[in-house]
Amino acid sequence: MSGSFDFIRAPSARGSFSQRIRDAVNGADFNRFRFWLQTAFFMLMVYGGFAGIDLGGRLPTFSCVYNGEGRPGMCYLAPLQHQLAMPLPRLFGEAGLAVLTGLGAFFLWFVVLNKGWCGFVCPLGTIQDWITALRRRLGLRFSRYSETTFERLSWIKYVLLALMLLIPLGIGAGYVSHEMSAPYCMICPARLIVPTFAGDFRQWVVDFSSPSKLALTALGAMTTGMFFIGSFVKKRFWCFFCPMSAFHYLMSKPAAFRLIKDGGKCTRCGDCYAVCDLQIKAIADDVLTPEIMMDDCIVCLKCVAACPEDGALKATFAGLTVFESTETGFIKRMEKGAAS
Amino acid sequence: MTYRATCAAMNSIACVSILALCFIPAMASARSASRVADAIAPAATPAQDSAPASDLRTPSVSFGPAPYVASEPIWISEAAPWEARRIGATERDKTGSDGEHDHAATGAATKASQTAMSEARNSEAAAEAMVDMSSHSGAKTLWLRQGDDPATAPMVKARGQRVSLRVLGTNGSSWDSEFADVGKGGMQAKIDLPQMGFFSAYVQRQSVRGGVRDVEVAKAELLKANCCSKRDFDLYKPAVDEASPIELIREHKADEKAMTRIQSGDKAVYLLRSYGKPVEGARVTIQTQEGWRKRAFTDAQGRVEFTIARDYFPDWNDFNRRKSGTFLVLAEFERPESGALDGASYASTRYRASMAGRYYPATYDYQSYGYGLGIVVAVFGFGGLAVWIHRQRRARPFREVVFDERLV
Repeated sequence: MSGSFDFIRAPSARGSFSQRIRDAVNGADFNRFRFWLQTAFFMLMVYGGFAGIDLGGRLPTFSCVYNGEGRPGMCYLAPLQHQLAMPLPRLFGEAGLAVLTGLGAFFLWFVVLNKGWCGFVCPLGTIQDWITALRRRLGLRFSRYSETTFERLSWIKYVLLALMLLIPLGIGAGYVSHEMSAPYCMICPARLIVPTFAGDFRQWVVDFSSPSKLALTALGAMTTGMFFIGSFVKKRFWCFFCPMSAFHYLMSKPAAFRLIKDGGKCTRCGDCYAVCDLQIKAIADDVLTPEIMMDDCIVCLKCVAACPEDGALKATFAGLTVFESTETGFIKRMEKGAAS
Repeated sequence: MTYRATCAAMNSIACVSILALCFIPAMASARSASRVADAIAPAATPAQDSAPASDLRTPSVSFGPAPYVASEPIWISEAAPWEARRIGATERDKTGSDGEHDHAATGAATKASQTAMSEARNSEAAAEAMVDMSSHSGAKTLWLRQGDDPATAPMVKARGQRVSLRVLGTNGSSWDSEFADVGKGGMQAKIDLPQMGFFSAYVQRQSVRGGVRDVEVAKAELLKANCCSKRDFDLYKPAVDEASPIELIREHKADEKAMTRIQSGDKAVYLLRSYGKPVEGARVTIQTQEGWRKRAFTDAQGRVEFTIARDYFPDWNDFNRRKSGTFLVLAEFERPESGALDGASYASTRYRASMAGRYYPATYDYQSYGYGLGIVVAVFGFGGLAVWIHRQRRARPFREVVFDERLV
C-alpha cells in the first residue's frame, strides 16, 4: 500500500533539501548561467590585474601575457616557451627544476576545472561565443565541417603544440634564432585581441626588425583576421586549433571535473551533437565509453543541458555529480527557449 | 700606401704638437696654483659656503697624478668601454681616445663571447638577449670612465689605488663599495644589489685648481628587477641623496616599470639638485654615443628636458632592435663660495654632476600599425568573401527530378 503511494508522488515533492538543490541546478537556465559566468571570468582575466589580483604565471587559460597591467596572471604557454628556450645544459641542469615546478603549478590549476578552463574561463573562447551570438542576432546561419575535414583538421592543434615545444628547444640548442622565441604567442590571436579589450593596441603591428619577427608578426595578424571571420561563421573556430586545448587533453585523465556518459540511458537522439560547438560526434555515437570527454571538448556542458534523458550525461567533481541531464530540466529549458 | 703613410705621419706630428701646446701651460699652471686634493679626509675650511665642503660624504677619489686630467669629468658606466663605440668605429677608436689598447679587457670580452658562442650557435642574438636580461639582474659591473664622449672616454687608470663608491637604495639603505684595479688597466666595481628596485651609486671628488674648488659627483642609476615584479610600482622610484652637493635625477615616467626603456625620440627629463634643492640656470649637456650633442639650462625647478635623437640608420639586414647606445648627461654650475681645502684657498666653487644612460632604437623605426591592421582587414575581407562564395555555390536552385519513363 505504502509502496504504491510513494510511486505516485513526485520525487521533488518529498525530496530532501539537497535533492531540491539538485533539481534546481539541473533545471536551471544553463545557457544564461554560463553566459554570466563567462562574463565574470572575462572581467577577471582581462581586467583583474587593475584590481591588484595576481594569480601567478602558470594559468591554464589565455590570461594573455601581452595584456600588461590588466592580466591577473599569465597564460602558462608563455613562460613555458621561454623556459624551454634556455641553453640545453641549463635546461637539463638546475633550471629544469624550475620547469618542472611550473608544470606542477599548471597541473594543480588545471586539475580543478579540467577543460572547463576552455569552456568557462578562457577570454578568447568567450569572445568567440559573443561573436557567435552576434551572428545569431543577425540571422545568419553557421557552418560545420564535413566529417572528413573534421578528421583532417583535428591534428592541427597537436602539430602546433609540437612546434610550440620544439622551436624553443631548438633555440636552446642553438639551431633556431632567438628571434623565434615564444612562437605560439606570436601567432596567437589572443596576443592582439585580449590587450585590445584593456585599451592596449600595441600588438597590432608588423615587426620589421628581422625576417623571423616579420614572418611571425605577419602570421599573427593573419590568424587574427582568420579568427574574426572564422568565429563569425563557425562556433568556437579557434578552439579547434588551440595547442592549449591539446595540452589540456594530454593531462586530463586525473582531473577532478569530468564529463560522464551513461550509454545505457542514451537513446542516440543526437541533441548533444546538435548543440556541440566543437562538432564532437562521439558524444552522440559512443554509448560504451563512460569518460566521454574527447580532445576537442571544452566541457561547456551544453550537451548535458540539451540531453532529455535522466542521468545519461553528467558533470562530476571529484566523483560528486554537480550537474546532470534530466527530462524535467530539458523540458523547462525547451519551454523557456520556445517562449523566448 | 705611401700616401696613407705620409698622412698618418703628418697627423701624428700635428697631434703631438697640439698636445704639447695644450699641456705645457696646463702643467705650469698646475705646479704653481693648483693641486688635486686627495680627499680621503677632507680638511675644507670654507669661509662663506652655503654648503660647506666638509659636508661632502666621503669624497674619496684618489687618483695618481697622471694621466688623470682634472678638467675632464668622471662618470660611471654600466657599459664596458669597448661596448660603447660608434657604429663603424675603427679598431683604434674601440680602445679609447688615449689610444692605449687594453689587451686584458678585450681579451676577457672575447673569451666571454666565445663561451656564449659555444653555448649557442646563433650566439649574437643569444648574447644580445642575455645582455638584455642581465641589465636588470642584481649583479652589476661598473666602470669608472673619464671624458665627455661616451664613445671614446677611456677607463680611469687605477695606478694601484682605490676609489670609494657609495650605493643608496630607495628604502634608505646604503653601503660602501669601491672601484679597484681588476687587471684590465682601469677601475671596475662589482655590486650585488640585495633587493628589487632602483639604486643610485655615487662617486664624489673635490679638488682646488686655479683658485676654484671643483666638486664633482658621478652617479649611476642601477635597477634590479624582473618581468614579474610589475605590480610593485614603489620599486621604480629613483633613489635620491638629499645630502649630495650636486645630483642629477632622472625623472621617471609615470608608468615606468622594469622593462621601460628610453628610446630614440623619447623625452629624457632630468632634475638638478644641490643638497636637495633645485638648481636654476645650470648648464646641462647631453652627448650620445653616436656623437649627437645638445646643451640646455635648468628652469626654476631645476628641470631640463632633452629629446633623444634618432641616430641609428643601418641597412635592414643589419638592423638590431636591441642595439643600445650610451648617452652621458653632464651638469655644471658655479657659486661664489670661497674657502680653503687642504691648504689651498679658493674663491669660488664649481659643481659638476654626471650620469650616464642607455637608449634604444624607437619601436616606430621597425614596427608598423598600418601593415598590421592591413593584414587583419585583408584576411577578414578575403575570408568573408570566400565563405560567401562557398555558400553561394552550395545553395543550388531546386531542380525537379524527372524520370524518363522510357527507361523505367
